[in-house]
Amino acid sequence: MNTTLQINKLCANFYLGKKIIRAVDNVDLRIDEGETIGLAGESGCGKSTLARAIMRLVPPPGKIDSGEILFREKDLLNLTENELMTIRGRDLSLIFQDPSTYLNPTVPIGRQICDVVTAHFSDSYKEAQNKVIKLLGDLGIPEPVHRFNNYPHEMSGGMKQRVLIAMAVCCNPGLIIADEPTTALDVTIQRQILELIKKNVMHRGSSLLFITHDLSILAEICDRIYTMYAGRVVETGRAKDFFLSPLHPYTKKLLQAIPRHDVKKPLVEIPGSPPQLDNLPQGCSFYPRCEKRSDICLTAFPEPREIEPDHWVWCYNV
Amino acid sequence: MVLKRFFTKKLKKSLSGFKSSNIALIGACIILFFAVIALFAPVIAPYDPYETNLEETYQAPSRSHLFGTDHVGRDIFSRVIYGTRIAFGITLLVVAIELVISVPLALISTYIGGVFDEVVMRIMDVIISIPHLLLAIVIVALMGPGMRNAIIAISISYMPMLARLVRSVSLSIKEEPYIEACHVLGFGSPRIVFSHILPNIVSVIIVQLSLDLGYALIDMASLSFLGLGVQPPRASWGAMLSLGKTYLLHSPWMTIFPGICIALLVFGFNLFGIGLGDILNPRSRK
Amino acid sequence: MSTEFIVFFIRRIITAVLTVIAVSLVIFLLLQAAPGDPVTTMTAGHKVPQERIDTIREQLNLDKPVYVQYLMWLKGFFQGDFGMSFIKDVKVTKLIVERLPVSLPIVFYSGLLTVVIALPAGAAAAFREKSILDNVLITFSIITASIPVFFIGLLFIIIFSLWLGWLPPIGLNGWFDVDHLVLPCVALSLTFMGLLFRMVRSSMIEELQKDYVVKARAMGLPKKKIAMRVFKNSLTPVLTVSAFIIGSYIVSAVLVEYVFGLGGIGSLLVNATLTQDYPIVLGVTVFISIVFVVSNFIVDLLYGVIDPRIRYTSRK
Repeated sequence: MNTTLQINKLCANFYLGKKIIRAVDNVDLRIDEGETIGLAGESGCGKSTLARAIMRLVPPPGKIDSGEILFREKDLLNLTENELMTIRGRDLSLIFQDPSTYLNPTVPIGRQICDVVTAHFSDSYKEAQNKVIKLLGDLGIPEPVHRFNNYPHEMSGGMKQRVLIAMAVCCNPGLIIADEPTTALDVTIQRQILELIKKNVMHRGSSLLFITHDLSILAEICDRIYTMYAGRVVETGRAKDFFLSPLHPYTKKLLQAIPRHDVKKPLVEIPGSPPQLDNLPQGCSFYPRCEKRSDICLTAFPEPREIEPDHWVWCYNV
Repeated sequence: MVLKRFFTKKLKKSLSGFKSSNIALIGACIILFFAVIALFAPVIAPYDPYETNLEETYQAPSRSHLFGTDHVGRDIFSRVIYGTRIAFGITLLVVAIELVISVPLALISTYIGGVFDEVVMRIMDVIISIPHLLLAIVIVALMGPGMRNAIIAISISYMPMLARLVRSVSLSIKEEPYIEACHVLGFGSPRIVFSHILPNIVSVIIVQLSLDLGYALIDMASLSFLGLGVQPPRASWGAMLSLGKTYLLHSPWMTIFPGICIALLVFGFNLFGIGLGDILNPRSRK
Repeated sequence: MSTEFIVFFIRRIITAVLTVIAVSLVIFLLLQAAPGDPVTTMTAGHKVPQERIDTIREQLNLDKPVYVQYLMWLKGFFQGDFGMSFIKDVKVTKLIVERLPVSLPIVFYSGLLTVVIALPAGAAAAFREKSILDNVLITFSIITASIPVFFIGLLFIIIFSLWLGWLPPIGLNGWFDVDHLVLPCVALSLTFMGLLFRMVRSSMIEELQKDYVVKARAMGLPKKKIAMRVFKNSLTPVLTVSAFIIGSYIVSAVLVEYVFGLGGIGSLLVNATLTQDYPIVLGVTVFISIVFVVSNFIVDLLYGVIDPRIRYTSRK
């Protein structure tokens, strides 16, 4: 089994005046060929920064400080900007969260997708156009020939997200990163988009890194799942193990917090508030909110332990 | 109370700012430099600016006449120094008039809305359709040249800009939820306008006014240059340029020095306004 | 062309025409308020019998009530006739037209120069924000914006005619008289170059921070393409502000050619103001306003062309 992406000890920090925000702190992540990996966590835990870091698009004042990002054995951190440009969009692509702001408002959407195709292949514009129209049809956009010339503001949120997906898959990349693609959409549309992603991404053989704070989605589609808290990975395992026997207190709470319509029980919440990333406590960052905490948790961030085969946790008290 | 808190917060922010406050500071220094000159003009100027001396006309700059003399032998250095007073006086007056009339008018108009608002805004639109200087020229044309009329003319031509600015900012604030909350809580209209809308407009107004100081000086000088503003023998920089034009080719110093002063002071006003603008309305990065 | 666009177009035209009429009315009324009687001015210094004065008044329609005078002027206006000068015995329109060949080249060339330099400079500075080049350009632009246009003109004359003797100070012979055109055009464009530069720069900086730019980079689009798109999008706010600046630009053009003694509309207006020749003042002002309104109109149209969103909404 080939490994598409291997991240080793990645650190990405934001430098704001005197404050240093550790957005991504010593993260290890592996995605094998054809796998769908889920990345879960609260807002602000570093998932989006991780996504951007993989593409090397962390905005200033952020910087990737150390670590390795091995994409098909090549360390992306060692590549020049020009080399990166050939990879981005072609072998590695990103679906963003809010389709309204991520599309150029003054260019028709069809042309924007064609741009990606012509940037990486030697197709003529006409050939690219045909490809794109077919793609739009595959993605469930009615009247693709007509819609090709629409501007973003003429389309609904769900349509625009399909356009973003089209841009991400048009070059058949090996790895697609989806950064909360359904969060900004209505619930009914979310389902449609999810199905689309399943059909067009997963069944084409690409690997997928699906980032979200909604665990119920991950249960459906992922092979393996990672949980992040305050910039660090705290648990990772195969999907079944993850949901049936979660190990880390944070993961457990997250799963309990999912509202259920079949069982009557009060909503569970995680006490306390999300951590401030510039002012993290010594040791485990979940300490203030953890129900299993103990003195040892304050010493240093826990080392990973493999509790079950392929099910790792970063906690002292499991 | 609200205003005081607002200002101290902004001041603290500006002192920790980096480049913007430097720009504003340099601008302020330049303005201060000229202000001091204006204040101590009688002490600094070696000669009486109106004293003619027909024996020493058209003299190039020398040790006895730092900036030279003009066509009737007046010392240009002294005239430039006294000109500082006129420059400040005029610009401050124009800005003051603008402030006192435009801002309340715009605020009231926005608040009342309706026909009054429409009418006022249409009038403003028409005035804006005529470029500033042109309007000022026309007003002065009919009122007759002179400093007083020039000041009135320029103030009139600037009012719509400020009024429009105040109006658009207060309109957007008026729609904010917290204003609606004020209504619900039973606050009276004047209280809403002064305690809530005004502080948010203040920074915008201040920036615009500091920039207007510079523009007013240029427009005033332009009017005087055309012979429509400050009249001779008054020593305003613009009037001096007008005189200088006639003798340009053999006594260029009559033109160079007052012109440089105008440019410098306007530069100071601009730096101050732009620096202030950056401090009070920073563009945030994501 | 879609119906929305046509509606947009027609609305703009109507607004433009109404504005011009409103402006002419305002100026006309203002001038009516002026002290002094044109006839008295004309006949100053001569002994003229009262009946002669009355005849002149009648000829100039000065004996009729104000609104009638205005309506008559307006009628003439729609036929391209701005009335007669009080002082000289010439139609105002004729005076304006014969001076246009002087003013037009200056406005045109300076405008071209300004745009050709300021746009690329603004884009370049935006890409290299906070670099040395950027700071130098900004400082330079503030400096040039601070110097009154006529002083730059005078300074140029001093430097280039007096001291260096390279170029003649006044006069103009047609559209291609480079010697006479260089100084006034450069003087005029310097002032506005700085302003346009700063506007383009700040608009581009803001545009570059937008999400779709990140997206474009994430898709591996070539930098040049991204840059062109961003540039096009950042022009819209610049256009909005340009609408106001064009007015000042035209007036400054008028000042410049007065300074350089080129015999254009500028000197016409200034002299008319000083001699209280009101028809000329009215005519030239309205003419300039028309130019202003027309350029705003063109800017509005351009706006609609560049930004598709505008075509579908009507006004701000």
